[in-house]
Amino acid sequence: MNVLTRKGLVALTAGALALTTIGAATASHAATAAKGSCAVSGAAFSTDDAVGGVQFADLTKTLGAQPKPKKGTKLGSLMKFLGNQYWIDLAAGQKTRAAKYGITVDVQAAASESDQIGQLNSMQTMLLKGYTGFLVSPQTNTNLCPAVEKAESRGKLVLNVNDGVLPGAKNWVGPNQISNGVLAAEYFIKNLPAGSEVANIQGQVGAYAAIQRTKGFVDTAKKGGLNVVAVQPGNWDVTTAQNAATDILKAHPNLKAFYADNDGMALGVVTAVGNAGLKGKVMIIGTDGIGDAYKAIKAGDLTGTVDSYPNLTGQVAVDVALRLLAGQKVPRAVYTPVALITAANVNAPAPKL
Amino acid sequence: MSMMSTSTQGAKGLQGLKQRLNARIIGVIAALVLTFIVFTILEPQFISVDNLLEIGVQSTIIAFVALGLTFVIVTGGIDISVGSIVGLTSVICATNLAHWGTFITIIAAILIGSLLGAFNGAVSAIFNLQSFVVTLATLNLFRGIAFLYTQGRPIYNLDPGFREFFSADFGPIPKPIIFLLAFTIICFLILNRTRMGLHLKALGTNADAARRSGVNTRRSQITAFVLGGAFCGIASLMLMSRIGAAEPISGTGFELQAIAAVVVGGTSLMGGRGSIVGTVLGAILLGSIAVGLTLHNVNAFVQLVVTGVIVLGAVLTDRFATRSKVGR
Amino acid sequence: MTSMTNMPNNIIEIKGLEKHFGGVQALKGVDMQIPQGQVTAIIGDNGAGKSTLIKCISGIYELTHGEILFEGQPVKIGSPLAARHLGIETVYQDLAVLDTLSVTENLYLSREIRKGIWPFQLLNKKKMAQGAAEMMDRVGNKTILIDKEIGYMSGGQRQAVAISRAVGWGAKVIIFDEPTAALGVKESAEVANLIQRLKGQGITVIIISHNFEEVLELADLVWIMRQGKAIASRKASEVSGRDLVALLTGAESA
Ligand SMILES: Nc1ncnc2c1ncn2[C@@H]1O[C@H](COP(=O)(O)OP(=O)(O)O)[C@@H](O)[C@H]1O
Ligand SMILES: [Mg+2]
Repeated sequence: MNVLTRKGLVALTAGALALTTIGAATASHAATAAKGSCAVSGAAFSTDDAVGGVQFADLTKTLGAQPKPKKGTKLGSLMKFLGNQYWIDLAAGQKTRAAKYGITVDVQAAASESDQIGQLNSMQTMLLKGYTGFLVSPQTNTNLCPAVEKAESRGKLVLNVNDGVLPGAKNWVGPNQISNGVLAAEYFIKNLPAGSEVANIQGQVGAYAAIQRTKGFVDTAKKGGLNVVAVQPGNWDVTTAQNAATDILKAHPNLKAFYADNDGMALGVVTAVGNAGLKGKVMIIGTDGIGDAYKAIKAGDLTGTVDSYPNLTGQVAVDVALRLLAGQKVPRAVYTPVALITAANVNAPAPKL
Repeated sequence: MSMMSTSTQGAKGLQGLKQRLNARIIGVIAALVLTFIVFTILEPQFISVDNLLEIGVQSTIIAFVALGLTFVIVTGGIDISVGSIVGLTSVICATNLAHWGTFITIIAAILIGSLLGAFNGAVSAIFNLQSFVVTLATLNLFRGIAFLYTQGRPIYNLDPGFREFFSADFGPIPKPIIFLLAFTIICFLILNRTRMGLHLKALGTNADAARRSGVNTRRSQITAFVLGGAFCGIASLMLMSRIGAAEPISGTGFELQAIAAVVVGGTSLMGGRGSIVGTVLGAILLGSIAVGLTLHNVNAFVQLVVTGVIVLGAVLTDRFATRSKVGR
Repeated sequence: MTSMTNMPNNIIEIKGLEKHFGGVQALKGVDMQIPQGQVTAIIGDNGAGKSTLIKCISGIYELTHGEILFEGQPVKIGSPLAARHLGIETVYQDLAVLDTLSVTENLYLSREIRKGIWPFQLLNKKKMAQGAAEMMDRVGNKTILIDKEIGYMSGGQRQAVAISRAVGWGAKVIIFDEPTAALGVKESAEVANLIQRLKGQGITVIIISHNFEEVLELADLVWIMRQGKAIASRKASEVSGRDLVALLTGAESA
């Protein structure tokens, strides 16, 4: 065994040296990354706190009418994953809007929710095709960075759509995350007696959207006189959320309302509340506005959802990209609408551009 | 003790051997050529130098994982935890990169990968378990540890110097391609020109006979997994430098792509026969198809279908083309 | 009725050897002596324990009880490699050759010739090819293609390689487990020939066989095994085939 260990160490060092020799061969190629969407000095970009962020509806007022796109404008779009209704809707919005202007948008996505390299590969390949600009919704905040840097170094537009958020995103379009939680909390404040116990099921720990939605909910609820008794992670997952909700209900039998950071988790909470025999006695609000959430609201299982209108977000993204390509000075963050949907307005038509 | 053969030793036998080995690689090359022709007709820029280099770079990470996996598969084993090894190795290395510096991080990556591989190999060998089952367990185990280690959080902003080290261009050629070439040669030598390689093949052909022929089968089995893990370690370095970050989820699904590359490259899942060049060509074939389909603006899901069809094709070709009584 | 127990020139001596596989007692206390430089045959019904005994001597199986003396010294044969180091080579019933490897690779497996300095030691293919050709020569086979994978060869050729591998390394004891069971008349004769030649070189040969004619022709001493025990030994010159059958079936007691 001793000989083996020694041999192993020699092999290890040999391997490391081989790597080092090749790697060190170009020390002269010093990093010369221009300040782009992936460069950060200080804290990473927080979309909710963007200085001078505007609502999409105000763009026409401040910048004038939507400019006519140049002929042959071709946008490349990178979605997170097209097996998820949210991103399917968002891509559809981009295509509808592009068709309206008579331009092309090619949509590519990774083959799974967690194929960061696959998504990067797609963008790298698209760089060879001479797109005018890119709309990117990275799987993580940085997985597309090598391609984004390359695109920007070639003077191509890169517009960050929704999330992940490029750490130094130059231009970003998407919903204000914190307002999701705020809207839910405001509804509970209005409809529950002061001091009522409420709880939150959080999304993936560490994810920006999860942090912000929870923060918006908890801060607003506390200020409005509600008693936030629990914040539990549900990791965007139905079952995890259901289990967490079951535990919370046991610990706090007087609980009056749940807010979940996405609709999938909210539907998990619906099951937990039903199992506890509390249907109709505990309010539940989710986030995103997916089809199943609308159905659950109509059926009376779900109190509401904070809809961030993915299709509309996709359309706004195309509009903003075209304004930027026309040379307009668009603020760094453009917010797309969010609205609380409850039984009262569940049948109302979605907002249009 | 047959005395019937009248041919002489040497040249003729060597030729026959070469022909048979090449038959497998020729299949992959034919598929590659076909892929190139089809995509060049569909998208002329497919054949551009830029794109060819891009294919090389995009194939590298999976190629590294697949190279290591070839050693495991040659012994008749399998390691489906490779993606998790990549994930765990990269989060540990990324977390400590600032502290360790580039050189120590390289050693650490290879060492951590090797240790995780050694764990797989040792558990399989000592308890006489099927490596599929063992690595099915460690696929979850290693991934879980990666999540616990990082509390689910990604590690961003890796040192640009480190990233340059693996990802920059060397002259006109991206470094990942040079790394891949260098390690392809090393792997080829290990499998075909060393005692270790010979013992791995012997183990995969017939473990019992190998043991009776004096091969330390347990050690060989562990060695194969250590090599597999070490190459996952190198793949982690490539991955970290490429995306400039490491996440506990990194490497998910690599096992399927890597196994596909190995199988398409003509290495038998039954063990006993392996082709290093085939594995790399297999990875490049799958990479080319992904690039070609993206260039042609085809949905990512189609890539899964095409990959599946190609693996099936490779396995069937193998089945019908090799009428060897050896059957592997 | 000659017992060999007290003769000093036994190269292998087995004392009270037991081998259990879980509940199965394959060997139930075998005592056996193998004289130096002679041909010893072991016969017995299927399941008598012959192969198991051979595998204990070849380092495949660990002994449950008992001991093995080699050249008068107690030895622990913990692995096939250990048996080789003592000078014991075995041609197994299934040959134990590796189908995907070439003749040369089979002959040199775990005894490879290498060149260079670690960790850059590579196989010396040229030297091994030369050596392989010589080894095949020595068992009288000049025609086999040493670069060819053994899986593509006939049964006779495969056995020639297996025998060559056992013979070619200067062994003191060579064990054949049913060497002719799967061979034709001509090939069996060649094996018999070879065994004669080995004996001529002073090598101790142990042969397991079902063929009494062959046993009586080749062997100097015959051991009879029954139900996991060595029940008797006879000088080949002093017994007939009928005697052996009687011993085997238990019609005549030891
Ligand atoms: N690996 C094993 N596990 C369990 N039983 C075995 C094993 N090997 C042999 N045996 C049993 O031991 C006995 C002797 O077998 P063996 O030595 O092969 O007999 P022979 O070679 O004389 O025909 C048989 O009953 C056989 O079933
Ligand atoms: Mg037998």
